[in-house]
Amino acid sequence: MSINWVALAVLIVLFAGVTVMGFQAAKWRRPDDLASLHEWGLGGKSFGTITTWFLLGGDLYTAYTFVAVPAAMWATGAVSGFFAVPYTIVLYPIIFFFLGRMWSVAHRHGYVTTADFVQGRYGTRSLSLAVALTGILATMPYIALQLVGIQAVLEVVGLGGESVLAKDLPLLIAFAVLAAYTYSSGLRAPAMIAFVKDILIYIVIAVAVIYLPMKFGGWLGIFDAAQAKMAAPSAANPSVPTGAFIPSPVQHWAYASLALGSAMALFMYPHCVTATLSSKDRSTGRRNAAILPAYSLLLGLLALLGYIAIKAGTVPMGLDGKINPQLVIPQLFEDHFPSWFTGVAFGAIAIGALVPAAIMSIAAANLFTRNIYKAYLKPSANDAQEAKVSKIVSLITKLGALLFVLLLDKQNALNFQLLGGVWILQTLPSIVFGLFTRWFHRWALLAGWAVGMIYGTVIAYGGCTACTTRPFGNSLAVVPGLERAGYIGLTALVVNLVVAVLLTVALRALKVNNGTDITTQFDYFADVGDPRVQAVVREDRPIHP
Amino acid sequence: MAHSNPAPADDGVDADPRWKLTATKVVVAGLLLVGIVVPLLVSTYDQIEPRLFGFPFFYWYQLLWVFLAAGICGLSYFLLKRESDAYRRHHPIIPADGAER
Repeated sequence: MSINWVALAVLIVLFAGVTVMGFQAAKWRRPDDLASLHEWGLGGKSFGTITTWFLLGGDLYTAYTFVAVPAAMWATGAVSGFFAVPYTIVLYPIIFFFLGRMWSVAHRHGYVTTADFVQGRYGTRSLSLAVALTGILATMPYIALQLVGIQAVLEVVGLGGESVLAKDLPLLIAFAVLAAYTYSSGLRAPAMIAFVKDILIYIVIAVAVIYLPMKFGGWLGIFDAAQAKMAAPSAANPSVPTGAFIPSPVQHWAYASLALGSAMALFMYPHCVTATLSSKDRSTGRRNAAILPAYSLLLGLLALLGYIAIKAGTVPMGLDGKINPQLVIPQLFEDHFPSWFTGVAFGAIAIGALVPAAIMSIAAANLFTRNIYKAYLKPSANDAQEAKVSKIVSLITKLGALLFVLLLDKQNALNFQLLGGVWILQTLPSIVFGLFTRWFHRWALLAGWAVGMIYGTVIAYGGCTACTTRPFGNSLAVVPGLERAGYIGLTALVVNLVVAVLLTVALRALKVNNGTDITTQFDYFADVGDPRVQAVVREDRPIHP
Repeated sequence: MAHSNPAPADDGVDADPRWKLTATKVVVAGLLLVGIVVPLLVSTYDQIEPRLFGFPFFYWYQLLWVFLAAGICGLSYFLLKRESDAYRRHHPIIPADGAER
């Protein structure tokens, strides 16, 4: 495969453009001082509905959407790919339940992370530490998924080679650019680039979903081609079909549990919390819940690009001569569009992966600084030191993600996101239930978390059904008692909950001290204008006494 | 999701009327639950016919739910906003904070 020079040039120009923007972003809305965690990590908490919309969109619709989901559709059809559509549908009603309360309590107490809230609500450092560690761990495979997306684009352009170093060099360059501008500008960089990214992506998608179906004879033929491919015997195991065009009854729970588990997991991730808290008033998040579904429609159409690639006969051949499903969408563009537009599309995908990767690494860094560095390592740290540590940890998080890319199998990159979900879901009882009730006992929540983490990790590591690769080859496993495959993360959450409820009953009966709650009921409804609530949080109070 | 109403551990006087369930909140919770549960009932849409513009039912039905879910969230937003605006009108003075620490 030779290098597509025109596409590469366009890609480089776009990339350079957003890099300049990234560095310029530090000057946007002229913060007096970037050297505090609130300014660097939350953009001063002053974003309105439109900026928040772009920022959340940048979080939610990522290389996951543009590379991994269509790749899964192309490879094995609906169950492993199209579940992303119901996932992003049920997501908004779910987050609607708790976004307002989360915003209010965070702005009353100056919370930057979910672990801050858990600390304030339960007064229990081990519980908030568990939440913080889980957030950092779970973010790494999610960032890894973004890096896989960038790598796919670069590989189809023709960069890289068969040697290990040449293959990963472009990835390392992209990684370095990302790290550099995130380091200097903080959250302002991805928020600003998110505008460019979305405009590029809308153009590319609009062209792709209108032009490509026309070129290949309409949707009917496309769906028929997909149905035929999914029904044909699998190349790896001829006794089973390649995939599922429509989930069969035994696959219903797999489909629904992947959607539900992913939706519940998403807003537990540090980066989504960051975006939510950086909005300027209580209702911004909810207003966004009503308008963000516009992205879900795009997601559905993008997923179907995987089926268009089946009809088009796209062959996602890697530079190493092996089939790599992750390359299918970049390859589809390269095969059927002029080089300059291919470059624009690749730029959109690459920037679309960079923005969330930056946001994710910043959020994970906030978690570390607030809830580990300041809580345990150096309680006396001042604002400048906090910001400094955050910047360094955001680099370390990205390096961790790089390790996931280099060490784990990239064939099914969607698994990276689902693996992060297995872990992050285990923090849901402490965070979300905590927003509504203090009934749960702190030690029961901690025990439930531990059991859920262990169960989920063990099953995901090697206990999955129909794994072709280990470790972490598949996110589905037989659900005990149901005898059908389901999302491991959701099963682990149920185990977690059972432990938490039973132990809570026991510990409450024994009247074991349930920690000190520094929040009041009023805190959960506070809005801009109420005492101690500021649209822009300037002070940085230590929350760990 | 639980809506129980225990007083926080350290503070007997801490109470906010908005913590209580209201008719509006029940309606909103019901609406949102519809938006969560119905799109996950795979057996209600796991079929090919009827097609729409070549899309099998399975695919277009789920894309249709994108708009229904947006509508549900929009309606919920409106209902909760109406309730909280009314509360703010009747409580022009911010309730005693009582949270000085």
